[in-house]
Formats: sequence, structure tokens, C-alpha cells
Amino acid sequence: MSSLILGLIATYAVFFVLINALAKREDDSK
Amino acid sequence: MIVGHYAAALVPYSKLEKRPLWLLLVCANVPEFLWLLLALLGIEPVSPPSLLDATFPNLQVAMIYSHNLLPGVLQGVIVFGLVQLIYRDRALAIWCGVLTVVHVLCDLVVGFTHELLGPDSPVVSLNTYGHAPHLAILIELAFALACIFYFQRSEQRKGRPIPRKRLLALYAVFSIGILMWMPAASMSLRQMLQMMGWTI
Repeated sequence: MSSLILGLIATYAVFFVLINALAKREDDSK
Repeated sequence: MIVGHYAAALVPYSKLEKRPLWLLLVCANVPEFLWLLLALLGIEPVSPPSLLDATFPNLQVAMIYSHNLLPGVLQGVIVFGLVQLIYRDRALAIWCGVLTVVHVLCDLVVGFTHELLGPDSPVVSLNTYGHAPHLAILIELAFALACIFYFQRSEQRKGRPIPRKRLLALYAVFSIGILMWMPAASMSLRQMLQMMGWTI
């Protein structure tokens, strides 16, 4: 399995979590 | 673009009330997630496959189904339909579809070679990763910072300013996530490690 692809998947996952945590408002739980 | 795509989701998030940010973030990267899946399946292969050897200029990618313009528009239509079906929310569905298409449009400016439809159709991208990768990364940074600034001002206008520490962290996360690829614009990780005396 390509380590490049796995690295990119990890990058997208980590930044998704970080950005969601930082930008999310309290009232958007729909 | 890589991490910068996520910033596009902040624009509709500031316009829409009580909608899930996670969904907008996912929709802003649908073509990328499709590419990663197709690359893992060998349908849109990438070379060199190793993270140690890859640089932006030496990467050979096939992104026919995930990143060519018309397949990207089709993805946007599908995303719109799925979100509308699940959420019954026209505004949210439209923005989700738009974010998917915006992803492909951004990658025409900051990305590899992409065609209109198939591999033999006209090239519609600038291939900045091949010709000017440093500039490409700086454009991605400018795009992300502009989106965050829009989000910041919009939230402020609506009377719910983002706390200073969170805002600074948001700017920092995007800046780090985008600029960390700058070394890969000119040399591979293996070359960098070799320069530091490590051999892998």
C-alpha cells in the first residue's frame, strides 16, 4: 500500500479534527 | 490544494445557521477523498508511491474521475442530490454541491494537470505543482487565510465573534497545514534526511 496515500489520509484526518474543533459553533448539531 | 480546501467550508458555514460543519468540511474534499479511494484501488495510481520520494514536481498522478472538470461537476450534482435526500435542506444541499465543484476549480489553479473530461480532452488546469510549486503553495495559503478572514468578519457582524485564542489557533492550523508542504516543492523527504546525515 502506498505510504504517500496513507500519509495524505492521515493528514486529512488530523486537520479535519483540528479545524472542526476550532471553527465549530455550539449550536450546529443538526 | 491539500489542507486549504477545508477553508472553503468556512464560507457557507458562516452563512448557514445550525448546519453541521463536519458535513461542509467533508463536501469541500469529496474529490480528494474519491481520489484517495481510487488511488488505493489502483484506478487513479500515483507515482512514486513512497512518501519518502515524492515531491510536487516529480509526482505522476492520474485523476481522471476525481479531478477532471466535468467529472467534478458530476460529483457536485451527486453530492447535492444526496444531501438534499438525507437532510431535506435545499440551501445546505446547494452549498455542499458548490463546495465539491469549488474543490475541482481550486485544483485547476493550485494542482496538477487536469483535463476537461477524459485523458485525451483539452487540459484546463495550470499544473502549478509541476511548474511553480512554491507559488502554488503560497496561493493556497492566501486562499485559506482569505476564507478564515471572511469567516471571522461574518461571525463578528452576526454578534458572535470567535474567541481570540481559537481564531489565532485556526489561522495557525491552516498556515502550518499548508506551509508544511513547502519543502516537498523542491526536495523529497529522503533527500532532506540524507542532507541531515540520515540514510533510509
